[in-house]
Formats: sequence, structure tokens, C-alpha cells
Amino acid sequence: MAYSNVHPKEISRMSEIAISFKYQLKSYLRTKRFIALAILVALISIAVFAVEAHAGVNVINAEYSNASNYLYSFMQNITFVVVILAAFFGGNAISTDFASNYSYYILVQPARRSSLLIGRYIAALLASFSIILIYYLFAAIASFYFFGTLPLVFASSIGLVALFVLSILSFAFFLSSLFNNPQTSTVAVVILLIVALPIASSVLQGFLSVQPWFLVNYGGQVVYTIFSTHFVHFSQVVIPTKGAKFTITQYEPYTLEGIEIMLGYIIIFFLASIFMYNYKEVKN
Amino acid sequence: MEIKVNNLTKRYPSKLALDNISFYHKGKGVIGYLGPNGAGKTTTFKILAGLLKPTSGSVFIDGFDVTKNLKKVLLNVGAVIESPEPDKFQTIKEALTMSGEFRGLSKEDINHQIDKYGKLLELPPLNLRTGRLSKGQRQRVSLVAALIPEPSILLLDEPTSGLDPAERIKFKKLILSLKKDRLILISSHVIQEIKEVCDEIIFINNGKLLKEDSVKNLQKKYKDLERAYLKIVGD
Repeated sequence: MAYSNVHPKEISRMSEIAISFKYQLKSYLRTKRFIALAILVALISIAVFAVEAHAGVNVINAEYSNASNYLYSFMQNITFVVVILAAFFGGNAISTDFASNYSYYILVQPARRSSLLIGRYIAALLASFSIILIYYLFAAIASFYFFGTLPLVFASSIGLVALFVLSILSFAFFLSSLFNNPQTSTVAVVILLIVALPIASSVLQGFLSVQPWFLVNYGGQVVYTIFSTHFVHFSQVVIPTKGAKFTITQYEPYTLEGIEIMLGYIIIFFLASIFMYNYKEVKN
Repeated sequence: MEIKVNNLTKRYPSKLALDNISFYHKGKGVIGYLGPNGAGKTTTFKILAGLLKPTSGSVFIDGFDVTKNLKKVLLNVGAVIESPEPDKFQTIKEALTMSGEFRGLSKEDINHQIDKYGKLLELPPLNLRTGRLSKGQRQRVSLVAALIPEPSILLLDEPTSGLDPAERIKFKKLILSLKKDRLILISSHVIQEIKEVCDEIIFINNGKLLKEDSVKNLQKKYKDLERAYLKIVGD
């Protein structure tokens, strides 16, 4: 068994990231969850469009008056879809290594852990984004069908949703680094992003009149508020009750504000994920 | 081909896994790392491969500090520790190709190496997903992955676990062939396996290095390795 002509050599960081990305994306695209989520999002989009089409163009025109108002409403569900996708593609991104013996295969490769993670991150973005585009595709079809036009901000919304996916993925990657069990980390991400953060946001705004500038789901609202034709950053509704007035406050983020919040989450939580991934030891 | 371990200590919250271990080996050959379950064998291998960080002490492989130059170390080290599991959605071919790509090998070289070691270790069809493989098959895939870059140093921690008797025999032949131009550190708690392939043996128990000697000397001194093991490590 003499040596052959094979001589390993160091590859660049970009190559490491590209290899990690390539194989991770292939894996994501082969998972049942990817196929199931793509079908689910397509079905939901078709169902919404079908119900509205059944109601008739005139009814939709009368209700929303223009394409922007229509898309403002249509796109409100997208934040929920993003959170679900990111939870499923990012919720176990790190924990899965340490729960299975995959770490003994992948972490003995001569590649920086940060490169492996960046590759995974980009793969998760693409896997999630490809499903989100299904929703956007139906939104565009619906806009043309009912109003014969597509507002220019539609393209901006696609850019914003990409930022939102990245920010939620960063958060999900970080949470997954805190757990050693992929199921637990995925459930934790789902509960936190779908239940805890929206409740926190509602309570802070509605009852305490606090602007939740530090919550990513608040910042992510720019994905649909960008379609708003009569944007109101701050509004209050006074509800008279017996003996006292009850005030409910609502904030909507400015576009720049939303971008800043999302960028903050991307940077802080992705760097924290890399730190945690580098720091973690394969103990079990 | 050089492994240098200096005063290596690993402390877990509830246990001292390695207690000031030192050893040094240069040049080709097979070094057996022998000890009972829980002795600290896997912990040592994990530190050598950068999967764990030492509490104190240092490890140098081919002159590179494992904690500071892990990428350079792993470029020339093939490691099979515990029972590695490639990504279950990858095919065998993809898992092996990825391993070659991380080492900068060309497509032709990777295919050549997969063919060479795949035949030798009788891998299942390469288009099978690794998630469908048995433990023994996954172990063989991991071995091929470790061998693809023709590393000069191999770290094999209980590499025969999961292999059936016929596969163990083939594996033994492979090690005997590989040792001609490589330094191989191999752990086991099966004395027979170690005896057949090793040139030197390190005995370890309770995180302490108990003895290090050549197989020849040990057999001369204790008559056979089983007896040496019992005398050095205990029952």
C-alpha cells in the first residue's frame, strides 16, 4: 500500500464554505420537511387565492381599493411562514452535530467550524427562501389578477423578507447551539418565535405602550408594512370600560428601523452562533 | 510522522478523564492504546483530533499544535473516532467526495481513491444514502473517508466496533498493509486485535498512562500480552 500521487493541500475559506454549502443544501432539499413545507405553502397560497378569486374581482377591488392595500393584507401571513421555515431549517443546525455521531465525521475534516456553519447558514437561507418565493409568486399572480398591476415595492419586500429570513435563522442557529438535542432545540425555537415573541410584542405594545424595537418579529413587519399606503408608526385606541378608559397602543416599524433590527439580529446572533459552535466540545 | 503529547490533562466536572499523560512517537508503525472501558482512550483521541480541548498540557502532531493549528493537523490525519455517522441524506459517494474536497484533492484523485479503498473495504453501492447503512457499513465508509487523502497519521479509536468477524480480518490486513508507511495510533480493549497489528503498546487506566513498551519487550517480560495487561492494568 504505497503512497499514491494524492497530496492533500489546504483550501481557502471560501472553498470550505462552498463545500459545506453545496452538501448541506443537497441534504436540505432531500428532507421530507422541505418537500412537506413547500407543498404546504403552495397549498395555503392556492387556497387563499382560490377563495378570493371565488369572491370575485369586484369584491376584492372594493375591499382593498388598490394592489398595495391588497398585498399589505396578503403578506401578513409571510412572517409566520418565515418563522416556521427558519425553525425547521435552523432549529437544529448546530445541535444535530452534537446529538448524533455526525460530529465524528464532519468535525475531523480539515475545515474551520465557522466555515461549516456559514455554509449551512447560506444553505438554510436558500432552502427557506425558495419556499417563500412560492408564496411571493402567488401574491404576484393575485395582484395581477385582481388589480392588473404589481407595485414596485414588491421587489423591496422580497429583499426585506430575505433579511428577515437571515435574522430569524441567526436567532434559530444561536438557540440550537444552546441545546444538545435537535428535537428540543427545534421545539424551543418554534415556541419562542411563534408563541413567546408575538405575545411579548403584543403585551409590550398593547398594554405597556413600549415600542418593541428589540424584537425581531416586530422588525420583520416591514416585509408587509412597506405596502402600506397610509402608514402610521404609532396609534392608540381608547376603549371605554366601566369607570376607566382602556388604551391599546400599536406600533408599526419604519422600514429603516425594521432593517436595523434585522441586521442587529443577523450580526449579533450569527456571531454568537459561531462562537458557540467553535467553543462546543464533543463530549458524548 | 510525529505525535507528541505533553502532560495532557482533561478534567470533566465530575471526573478526571486524563491525568498528566505524556508520550512521543516518531516514524511509521502501529501504536496500540490499550485500556478498559472508561480508561481515557477516547478522550485522548478526541483531544488529538480537536474534538475536545485539553484542560492543560499540549498535543503536537507533525509539529503543529492541535489547539492552535487544527486545520493543518487534520489535513494530514485520518481519524475514525467512536462510530462516525456521515450525513444521513448524503450518498456514500457524496460523503466520501466531500472528505476529499475538504483536502483539496482533484475529482480524479478522489474517484481513484474511492475506487481503491472502496473495493478494499467492500463498500456497498456508492449511490446508497448513508442513513440506510448498518453500523459496520458506516464504519467502513468512515475508514475510507479517513484513507482517501493518504494521511501519514491515522487515529483509529476502536475502529473494529460494529464490524463482523470477516470484516475484522479484512481490517487487520488493511492495517498491516498501511503501517508500512504510516504512523497509526489505534485503541482497543480487545488484546488479540492489538497484539496482531501493533509494534508498541501504551497501557492506560483511570486516565493515567501506566506503561509504554514494544510488543516484543512486553512478550519477553510477561510471556504474553494478556498477562502483561492483567499485571499492568489489573483485573
